[in-house]
Amino acid sequence: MSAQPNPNLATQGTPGRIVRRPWPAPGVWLKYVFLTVGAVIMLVPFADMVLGSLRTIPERLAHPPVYWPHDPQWRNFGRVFRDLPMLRWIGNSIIVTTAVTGVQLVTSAMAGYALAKFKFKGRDLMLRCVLGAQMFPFFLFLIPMFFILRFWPLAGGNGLTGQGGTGLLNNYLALILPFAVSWYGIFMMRQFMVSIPDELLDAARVDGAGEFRIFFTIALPLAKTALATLGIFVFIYQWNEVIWSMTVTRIAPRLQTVPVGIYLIRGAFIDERTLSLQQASLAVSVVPVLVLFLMLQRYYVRGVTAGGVKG
Amino acid sequence: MIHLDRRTSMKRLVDGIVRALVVVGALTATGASAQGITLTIATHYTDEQRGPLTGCLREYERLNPGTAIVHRQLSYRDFLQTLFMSRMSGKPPDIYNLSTAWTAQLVESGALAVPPAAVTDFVVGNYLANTSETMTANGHVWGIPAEVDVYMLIYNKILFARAGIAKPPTNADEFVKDAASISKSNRQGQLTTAGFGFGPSPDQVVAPFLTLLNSNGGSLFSPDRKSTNLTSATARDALETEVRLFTTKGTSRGAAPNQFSSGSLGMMIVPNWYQKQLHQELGEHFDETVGVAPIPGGMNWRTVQYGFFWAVDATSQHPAEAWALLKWLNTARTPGGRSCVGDMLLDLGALTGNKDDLAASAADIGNPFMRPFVDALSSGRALPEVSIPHANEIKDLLSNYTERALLGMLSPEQALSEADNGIRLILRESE
Amino acid sequence: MTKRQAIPYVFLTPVMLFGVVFFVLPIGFAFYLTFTNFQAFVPHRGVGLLNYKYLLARDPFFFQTMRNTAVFALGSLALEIPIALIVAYTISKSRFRAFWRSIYWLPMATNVVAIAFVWKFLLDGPTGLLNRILDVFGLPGPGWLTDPKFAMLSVILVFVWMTLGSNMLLLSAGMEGIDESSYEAARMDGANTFHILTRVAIPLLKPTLLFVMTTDLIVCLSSFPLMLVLTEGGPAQTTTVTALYMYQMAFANLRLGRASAAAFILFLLILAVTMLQLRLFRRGGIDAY
Repeated sequence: MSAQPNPNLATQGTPGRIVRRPWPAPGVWLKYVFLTVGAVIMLVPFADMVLGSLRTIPERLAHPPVYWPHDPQWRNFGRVFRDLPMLRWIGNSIIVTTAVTGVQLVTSAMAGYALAKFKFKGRDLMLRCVLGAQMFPFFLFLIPMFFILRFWPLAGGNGLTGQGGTGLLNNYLALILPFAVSWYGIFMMRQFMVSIPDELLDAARVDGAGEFRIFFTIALPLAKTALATLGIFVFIYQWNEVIWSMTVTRIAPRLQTVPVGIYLIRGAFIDERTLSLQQASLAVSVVPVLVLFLMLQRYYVRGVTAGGVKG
Repeated sequence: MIHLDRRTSMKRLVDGIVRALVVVGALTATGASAQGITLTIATHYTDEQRGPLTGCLREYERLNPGTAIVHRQLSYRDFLQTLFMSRMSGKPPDIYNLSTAWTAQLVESGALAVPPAAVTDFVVGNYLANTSETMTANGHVWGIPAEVDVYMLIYNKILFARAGIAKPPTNADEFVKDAASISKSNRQGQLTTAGFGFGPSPDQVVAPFLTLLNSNGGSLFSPDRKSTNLTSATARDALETEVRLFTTKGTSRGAAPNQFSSGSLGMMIVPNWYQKQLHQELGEHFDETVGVAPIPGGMNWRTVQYGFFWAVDATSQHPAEAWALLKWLNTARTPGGRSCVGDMLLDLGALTGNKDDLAASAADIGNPFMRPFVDALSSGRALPEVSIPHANEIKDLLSNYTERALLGMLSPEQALSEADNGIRLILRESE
Repeated sequence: MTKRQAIPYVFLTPVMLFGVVFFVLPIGFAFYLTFTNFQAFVPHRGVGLLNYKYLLARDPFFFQTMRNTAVFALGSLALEIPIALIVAYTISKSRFRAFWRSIYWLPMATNVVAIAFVWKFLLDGPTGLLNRILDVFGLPGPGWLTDPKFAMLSVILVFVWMTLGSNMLLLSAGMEGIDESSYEAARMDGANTFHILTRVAIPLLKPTLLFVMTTDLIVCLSSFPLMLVLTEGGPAQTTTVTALYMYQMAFANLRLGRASAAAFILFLLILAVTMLQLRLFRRGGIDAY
């Protein structure tokens, strides 16, 4: 395509002239119309949330309520940090999410490496267990996990028998340990590690390198992209995790994460006067992840390609 | 060579694990406070609602060095489950503000500490008898009465005048007719103004039904509390009145009390604490907008009252200090003045059974809004909610079935008989 | 065993420990709970199969929640896979693919609490944005979340909106793997876009599609956070799926024994459905997992 289409022609040219540069075939622009409509549907809820956070109380109480805020209440975003323990929630989210991501990367890489690069008794069985474990829905673990953490021996004032204290329940570990291993993560890392050539590892062995050195200096660096991808997966998933965190931190408010905090304090948003604040806090909970995702989305897309489909 | 290398790697791994364990240990070590005690109070009041109380707690800390008081707000809907899980976790709060409906269940399970005789005497001497009855079980008064609320019909005077209705409804037929004539729909069929509305939670769904049921001379439970009266004609009449509100478009499931201040709601049956919210939202328009009337249940109308009480957990490490704090919070601070809790409750628009607080609050409870609520309470028209095991579960069940009838999914008879079945099953099981 | 042979086990130690403490132990304990009347504040005792009997024979809501679960899962699958397929295909034929994919993926990076509350506002009967827009076109608007006939549909639509991105991305990845020459050949034969999609792309995508269907079905059958926040299962329990019912049983009514039994029944059903599905696929010559 040589010349740029003249915008004037397209908008105000006479019909006779346009014949020479006709509209592209419907298939060409129709798909952009389709994608744009879809994109609007994806984005409008976010816009609605931000608009909602900017409304004044009289606008909410008007009959009918005013949709477009005329006097945007940007200070609601300040109130999110002043009137709600938002900073603590964000701090907790960061601690828990980072820890889970780190631990899961380590456990997944180690297990994936062993399952991919070693022949040993029980390997196939273990691989099948890893795959099978993914079939167990999380709700099955909600109730018993609570008890296991509560009666964890020698923690939180507990004795050897798990009595006497609170176990791990009053502790960040309650939010971290149940997510220390991801079966999906192991499988994904295993699929990746399989493609590392054995010759590379054997050559290092011949050179006298120890197995752990081989793992850390050869296998891990080669798996950097896969690790980055898994890391983003885990981070986003964990940041948005609600059910388990809510079940545990209901009784330990100082451990609440952002979405859990906002949900459990819903009783404070009972009337029209506080709904703008609620929507502002929702916006605050959403934005950091969206920014992170948009910055790293390249890895994410690549990761789905690498780990999603196993033929 | 290889061996050695592997061994060092091994050692490094073991080192790593040991170090990780140490970190775990450090993380789990509870930061035992040096000296002094910490009392944790759990209530459902938001920061704004318990403003006056917070000031008092800080003052108490000043007066009693070595005592720190931590407040924990729990959503009312989550309160009982959080209480249970806290007790499971081994570190429950010391002090609770509990619904009197839960007394039976909590007492039965030994969750509450028996108050010392001095506290019981204090309650007997300083509180209206009917407020402490609902928290009495097994021969003990299990704490100090707190908030008391009564349901009444609140209506929008402006909307009534606009619809040409001179006075609020006094019986079921007028109730249904007025609601229908106030309602306005848009061209989509949505009610932009609803004649009547109630909220989404089980309590809010069930409350109007219970007030109508009580007005017809009925009651939810049989006297022995082993079965219900839901299959009676009075119960059916009460539910049918509500169903008619729906079929005549006097209300819809989306119409909720939150919309009252915007002028989109003609009537609602809500407790007195709505006063504060309405005042804040309506400002100077409060008096010309808000009217209070009896439950539209005829001459012998009745309503529902419910309450809260302060209690101490049976496993609290500092029961004496906890009761001392509670007594201080509920005692008039100056002769002829109000207690801290009284300040909070009356600021909220709630009522109390504390005689001193009532005596010192003539202005707060004598205004045209509060007067009818107080009268309903003192005349005995407000019947207390029965305390029964699994009270929440029973209310959820009743709410589920009444909602089915209101939305036209079941006939009122069917809904009530199924609810009766379900509730009897629960009651029988907890024998 | 020589040290060399021990190496893989050392690498697997953390995972095996986790498997014992956070997988085998919880499942065993949950299974034990199903045979007790464990509930709040009451000392518990063994009750044999009573919990199972209650759920399957007496519980007035259990089967309704099963039906809701089936409607939710099938409805979500029926909507989200075709939509994701069309979106993924269109994107693969457009420019700025990364841009489009990011936009469609945004809800996946959003927490479910925010999604549910935001849609609560959008779907409000008289004042929500959706009905305002419908009204502009003179269309009727129901009470999306308050009308029992529409509530489940609304939940499904929000769920599809929320999970579209991940399906779209998986299918996109599958499409990237399709050789452009397959399309060319079809185009030479005079096939139009629709035919290319249905006769070329979809058959080649079969492994990806089946993978997406299998995992989505498990997710849909066990998912409940959206309903928990958006509708709390209402109105009149029309959106209470079994997993949500189990959660409410456990953490609102505090009947942990009965709730564990409900969890196991649901799990066995999910397992059976998944096995059946995999079997059908395998018979169709596809090994999705």
